[in-house]
Amino acid sequence: MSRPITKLLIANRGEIAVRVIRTAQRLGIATVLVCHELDLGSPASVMADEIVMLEGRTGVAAYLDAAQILAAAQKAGADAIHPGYGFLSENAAFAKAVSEAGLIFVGPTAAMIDLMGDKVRARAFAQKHGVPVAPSVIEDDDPVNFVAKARALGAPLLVKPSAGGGGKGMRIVRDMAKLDEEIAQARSEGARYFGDGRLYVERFVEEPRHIEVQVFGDGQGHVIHLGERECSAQRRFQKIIEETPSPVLTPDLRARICQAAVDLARAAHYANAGTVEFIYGRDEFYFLEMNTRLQVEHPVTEEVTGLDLVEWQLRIAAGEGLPCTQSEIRSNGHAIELRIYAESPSRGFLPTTGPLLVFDPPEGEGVRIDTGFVQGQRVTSAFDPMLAKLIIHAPDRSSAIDRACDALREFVILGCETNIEFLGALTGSSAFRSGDVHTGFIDANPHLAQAPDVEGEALMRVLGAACMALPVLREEAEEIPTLHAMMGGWRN
Amino acid sequence: MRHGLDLHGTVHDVFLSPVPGGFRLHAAGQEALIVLEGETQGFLALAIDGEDCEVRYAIAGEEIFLHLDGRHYHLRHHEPVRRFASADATEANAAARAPMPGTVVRIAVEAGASVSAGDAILVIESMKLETTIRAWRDGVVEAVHVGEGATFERGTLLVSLVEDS
Repeated sequence: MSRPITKLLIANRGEIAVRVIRTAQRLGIATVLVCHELDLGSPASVMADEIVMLEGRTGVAAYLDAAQILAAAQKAGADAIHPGYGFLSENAAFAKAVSEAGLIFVGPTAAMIDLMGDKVRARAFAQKHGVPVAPSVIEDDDPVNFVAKARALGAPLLVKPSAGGGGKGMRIVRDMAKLDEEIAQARSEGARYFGDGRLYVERFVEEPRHIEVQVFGDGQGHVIHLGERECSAQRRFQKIIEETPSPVLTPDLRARICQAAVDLARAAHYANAGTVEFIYGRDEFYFLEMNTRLQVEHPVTEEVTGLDLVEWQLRIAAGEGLPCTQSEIRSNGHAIELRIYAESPSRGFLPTTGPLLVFDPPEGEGVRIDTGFVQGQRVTSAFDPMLAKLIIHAPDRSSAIDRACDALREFVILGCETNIEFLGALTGSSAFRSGDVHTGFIDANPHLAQAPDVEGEALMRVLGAACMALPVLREEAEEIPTLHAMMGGWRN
Repeated sequence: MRHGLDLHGTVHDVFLSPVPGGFRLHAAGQEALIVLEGETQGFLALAIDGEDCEVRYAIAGEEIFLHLDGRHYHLRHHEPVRRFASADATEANAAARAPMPGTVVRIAVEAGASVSAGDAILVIESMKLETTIRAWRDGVVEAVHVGEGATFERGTLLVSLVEDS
C-alpha cells in the first residue's frame, strides 16, 4: 500500500508553493514547480529544485491548465502533485486525471472532491450521517413549490447558489416581501458566476460565527481531528483573521463540533486533509461545507499542535496512514493568523497595486511569516492580493492579541497600500478582545476601516519625517543663512 | 520656499529653516524642532521636539511612503514653483523668478505665444529634480529671459507674461 514520494510537483504559486516546497525539502523530496513567466524570480521559483514554465494567456489561466500541468509532471518525472489551495485543488477532473496517469494526487479522491463540491449533495450526505444542518429548502427536490416552502421557513433566510462558494451570489432576506426579488437576483448571479442557476435557501443565523474543524483521514475510515479554528472576522464573506482555539466554544460544544466533523469524514472514508466548516450561533452549529484541501489558515493549527500539516498530507498520500492517534494530539496556547492584503480598507477593501519598495515583515518569538513576496517585487492585479500571513503563537489569547498588535505595528510595507492598520484596529478593538466578532461585524462597523485623522503633534511628526526624507528640503534649508532671506517669496 | 505635502487630500505648507544642531519645521500653523540623530538608506532616526522618531521611508517620484510610530503614511510632494504658479493664478503677477539655483533644461514656448494657465513654459533642474514651470494664468509670453542650458541663481528672472490684449 505504501508508495514513497520521491519527486513532487507543486501545482501552485505564491506563499503556499513556498510552504509546500519547504516541507518537501525537509523530508528529502525533490521539488518541481510549475511557473508562469509573471512568477519567474519569485521566492518559490528560487527555492524549487526544478522549474517547468507554463504557457498561458494570463497567469491565472496557466495555473488552471490541468492538461499542461499534468504533462509537466510526467515530463519532469514527478510521482506526485500537490495542488495547494485555490486553482486546481478542488477540481475533481484534475484529481482523476492525475490518478489515471499513475501519479499521486496529494488530497482526497476525485469522487470525494466531487461530492463535497456540490453543496446540495454534501449537505444531504451530512444530514444522512447525523451532522446538524440548518433548516432548508433545496430547489432540486421540488422546483414547483420551492418559493412557497422557502417562505414557510420564515425570516431571516439565506439564499445561495447550489454550485456556489466564496460568498458569491449569497443573499440575506429579512423582509419576506422581497423574497421573490432576491431569489431572482441570486439565480442570475449563480448563473453568471457558476453557470448554474439552481438555488437553495436555509435559515440564516443572526450574528453567525464561522468555526471549522481540521480533519485528516487515511481513506480506510480512520479519521482524527486537530481541533477547530474560528474564522469569524470576514470582509465580503472572506476570512481575514483566523484563530485557534475559538474564544466562544465551551469544552462541551468543542467536543461536539469536533466529533461531528470526524463523523462526517469517517462516513465518507475521507482521505488526506480536509476542513469541515460550520456556522455557529446561540449554542447551535450547522454544517456549512467541507473543503477538500489544505486551508489558507492551516498554520494556526500547526502552531498550537506543533505538527506540520503538509508533512501529514505527504505521508498520507504516500500510503503511510495517519501519523498520530487522536489521543496523541495536544494543543498548546493560542494562535492567530492575520492576512495581509494589498487593499484599501477605506475604499471598500478594493485591491491595490504597486511596487514593494520596502517589504520588511516583523520577527521575534511567536511570530511566523508565510509569504510569497520579497522586497522589490511588484504587486499587480494578475493574482490574488494576499501579500503575507502573519501568524502569532502565545501562551494565551490575550497575550497573542498583544503580540499580534505589536507585530502589525512593526510590519513595514512601503509602495503599496495594505490592510495592516485596519487589522491592527480590528485586533485591538474591544469587540475582538472580548471574542464578540461575528461574520457581519466588519461590515457593520465601517469606522474600523477609516484611517484616523492625523492632527497636532502626530501631524508634525509625519510632516517632519517627510521633510527630512526629501533631500531638496534639507538642502534648501542648509543654504539659507537666515530665515529672513526666504521671506517675501520669489516672484515679482 | 514653501513646499506642499499632500496627506489624505489635504495639502500642508511646509518649510524647514536651519537652527543650531537641527531644523525647525514650520507647518500647519505650528513649529517643531527636528534633530537628525542618524540615517542610513531609507531610515532616519529623528528627535522631534525631543521625542524619538524612527522613520522608514521610500520615495518614488513625487510620492513619499513613510512608516513611523507603527503606522504607514502616503504623501505627495508639491514643488514650490508649480504651487505658486497655480495658487496665485488670479493675481496679475507679471513674472516668475527662479525659486532656487539651477539649470534650464528646456524651453517650451517662444515670446509672443499665448498660454493658458497650467501650460508648460520651461523646465528647470534644481537640486537634482526637474521642475516644470507652468503658466500661472492665461496670457501672452512677453519674454523668456534665460536660454536652454543656462545656469541661474536664485531670484533670476525666468519668464514674464502680459495680459492677452
